Amino acid sequence: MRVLSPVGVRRPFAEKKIDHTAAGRVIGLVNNGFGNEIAGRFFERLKELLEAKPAVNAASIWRKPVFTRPSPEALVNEVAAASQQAVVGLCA
Amino acid sequence: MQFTAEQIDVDDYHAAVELFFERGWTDGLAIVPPTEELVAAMIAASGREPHEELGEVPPAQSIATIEKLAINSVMAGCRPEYFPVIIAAVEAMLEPEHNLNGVQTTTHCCVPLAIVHGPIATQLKLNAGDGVFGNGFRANGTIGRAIRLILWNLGGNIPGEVDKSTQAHPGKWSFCIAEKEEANPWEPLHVERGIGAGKNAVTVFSCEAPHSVLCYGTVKQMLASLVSSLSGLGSNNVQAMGETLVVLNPWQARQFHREGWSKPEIRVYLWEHARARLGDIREVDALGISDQFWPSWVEKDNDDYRVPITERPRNIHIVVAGGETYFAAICPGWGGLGGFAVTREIEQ
Repeated sequence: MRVLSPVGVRRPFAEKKIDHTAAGRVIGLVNNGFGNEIAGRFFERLKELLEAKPAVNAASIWRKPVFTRPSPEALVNEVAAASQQAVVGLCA
Repeated sequence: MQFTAEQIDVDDYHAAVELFFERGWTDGLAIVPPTEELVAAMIAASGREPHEELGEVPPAQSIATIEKLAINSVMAGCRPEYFPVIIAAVEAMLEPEHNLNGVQTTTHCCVPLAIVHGPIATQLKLNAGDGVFGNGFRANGTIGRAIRLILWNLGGNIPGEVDKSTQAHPGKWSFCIAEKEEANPWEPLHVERGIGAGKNAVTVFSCEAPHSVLCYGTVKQMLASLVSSLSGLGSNNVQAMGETLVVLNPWQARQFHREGWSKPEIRVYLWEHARARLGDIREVDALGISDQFWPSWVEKDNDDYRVPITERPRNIHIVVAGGETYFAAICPGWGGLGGFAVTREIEQ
């Protein structure tokens, strides 16, 4: 008996080489979780800590409009245009 | 027929079943081995090209081809004539407004419910009557299971891995009903949502398991019972709006209709009365997220403001199904986070 595999195939994903240094960079912080007060404070504190580092140029915060949905393309483009590196995370 | 899927030779039926268990390709139950002949028959019944792509199934983002959908449908035990319903359901789930990525990965228990409308429901012997959410009917059971296997094998939503559902619900095995249109005094849901009367369609709405509502007597008594059940503070709809589903049985629908109630009027009544006090919602909203889902007209500084369960009456979906007794069912949605109802015509 010959059977067929039910699992899917993904499109090839071209990974970009990431330069992990933050020196001289503008860092984008994207709040990918609950847009509540605690998360707001967490990201503000993270921004402060990053900006206190001499190597970091600046940090900015973005929040997704709805935390359960993928970021709208316009937001991704905005973050990409305004920062050289982005950190996407959540605070639960 | 030329297949692109990996082809595996096995000794017999039992070896095939064990192989699928070993590889994590099934939902915890034995499957019908997807042989080339069965898969070819499934594809032929749809009239679609096997390599046609419907999109990517999140979160694994595997490509949903007609061939892969057919393989999973054979595994679920579907007859070929069920396949167009499954294709339409997958197309509906992949619409961005359904937010399948969120549905597949949320800590909430919501599961896509497939509601089948039109003459096809009777043709396929889908159960729309007694025990509509229950077992005993091949079409309901296997169409629902095929959808789940597609979400499993293409979407990769493995519990405890990317599927973070805290307790989930039994609809993760199979979750498919039909509307009992011959006993429905109003327009069925798909017609309200823009599909022509007499056409076949499927609505996919991600929701909780059915909650039983003792809903009997006069219209006033039935409405009071529904209002109370819909507006409990622990509901995602109460804390985050979104959409909800009310399943009235044919007797209840007749009672409402006899007393001159239309579906839109029931919706408006429920929307106006199934509300919770804003201050009470804030007290239980430990995540602090309710505000994000309230439209600007909600008086956010007024603790006594009565917040509705949905942003507008039309987000309360009503279908007629089930046996003719005392009970209705409500299936609360995920809230404003996604899983919204999407209706697709079934192409045959």
